[in-house]
Amino acid sequence: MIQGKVVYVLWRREMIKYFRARSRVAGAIGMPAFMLVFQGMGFRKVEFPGLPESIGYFQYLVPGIIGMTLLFTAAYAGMSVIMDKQFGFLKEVMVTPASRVSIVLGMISGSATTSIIQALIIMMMSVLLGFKLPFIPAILSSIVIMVLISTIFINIGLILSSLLKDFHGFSTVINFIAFPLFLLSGALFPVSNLPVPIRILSYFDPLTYGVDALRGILIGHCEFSIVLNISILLTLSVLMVCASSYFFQKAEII
Amino acid sequence: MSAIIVKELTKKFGEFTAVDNVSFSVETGELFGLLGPNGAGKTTIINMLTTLLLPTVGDAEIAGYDLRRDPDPIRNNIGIIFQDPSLDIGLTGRENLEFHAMMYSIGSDERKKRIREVLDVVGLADKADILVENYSGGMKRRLEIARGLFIIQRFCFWMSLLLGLMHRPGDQYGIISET
Ligand SMILES: Nc1ncnc2c1ncn2[C@@H]1O[C@H](COP(=O)(O)OP(=O)(O)OP(=O)(O)O)[C@@H](O)[C@H]1O
Ligand SMILES: [Mg+2]
Repeated sequence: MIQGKVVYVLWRREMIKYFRARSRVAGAIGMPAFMLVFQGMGFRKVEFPGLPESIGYFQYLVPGIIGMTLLFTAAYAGMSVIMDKQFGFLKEVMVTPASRVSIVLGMISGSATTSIIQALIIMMMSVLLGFKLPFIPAILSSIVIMVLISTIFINIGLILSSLLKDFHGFSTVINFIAFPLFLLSGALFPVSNLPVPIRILSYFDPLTYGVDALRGILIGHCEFSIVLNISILLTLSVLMVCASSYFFQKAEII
Repeated sequence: MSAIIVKELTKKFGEFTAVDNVSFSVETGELFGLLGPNGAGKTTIINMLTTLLLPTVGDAEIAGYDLRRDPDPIRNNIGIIFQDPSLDIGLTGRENLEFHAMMYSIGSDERKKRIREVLDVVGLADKADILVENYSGGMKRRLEIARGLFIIQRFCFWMSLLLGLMHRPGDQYGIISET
């Protein structure tokens, strides 16, 4: 049972707080921006095996960094739940009759919006550095992929936030999860360059399919088919929403 | 039939027993108070009755609904004013109330009207549009009360009735229990 007002008000709260905390916007964008500049410019002329010659490394890297931005901002979304827990506000959310699915969907829609805003800022920055943007329809389809990618990782953060109480615990665990996902995904170089055992692991990383789908749409080069990528992302998104609704149903909030 | 029935409720946090085998019942229309020294377990009992914590052992029924099986209809019947802070200090007072109203799916006209009313009752009308982080302790407490009064439910749990409140001339508080 999904209540529109509940989803909307949770989304709106996230927007209000996002635009009031400009430093958060700047802070979260820093890391991918540095990656874009240093990795992107530094390796610009390098030729990677598994990378078609017609596509320069920078073109190849940009969708990866967009995926990275989504992964990290989305996974950290659970941090605001931890903050709500510590400030006591989560109790106020959880005693209301709002259905747990609506609460989870509201949190997801808010955090997905902010993650995608960050990713679009990175995309704009990359254009300044020489990234060749595709046409509008491709950009719009890439936003659909971004919604799926952020939904998956937001839910990982939400599930974790339903189990943990403190900031440090949360950020330690989330880094422990997010970094391997980032490195395994092929965001920085083609996965085919990894030794076989590690390459097999990368097939279990949702971001692998996310980044591949973004590449397919933004630079017209992908390893798997777009249909396969989207099917995997969509299935995982739905499963993850169900999982975090379940965890929020079960969680003791105090 | 009693409106609230608490049967042998026990809550353990790890090894520590915070609430030990508590039973009581509250009749319709009754104003019921839990008294006890600090740390006695009052808040823990109310947290269980308001579905925020699960009992370790025992059961409770509110308006005929079982705590474990039917948390949703229970949430539909309760209002609560917490002992500890539970406001979003990054929002204004009005935004906190709006958030609350929308979580209960209250329509826009009704919402605006009720927000004006409760802000008047607690004397915060002129501070409604500043961020709660800039409120004084007593003003925050008043906002929590305004929010608790916002929706008049069948059951109102009021934790620490007198906490942090200074009477100001013209203040009016009605205590709502069951209706
Ligand atoms: N989440 C928790 N984990 C571990 N112990 C807890 C937890 N919550 C409460 N306790 C312990 O349970 C006991 C009862 O706490 P509770 O907050 O219910 O007391 P209270 O009667 O409301 O006290 P006060 O009058 O100070 O508000 C205390 O000893 C407290 O330390
Ligand atoms: Mg207490």
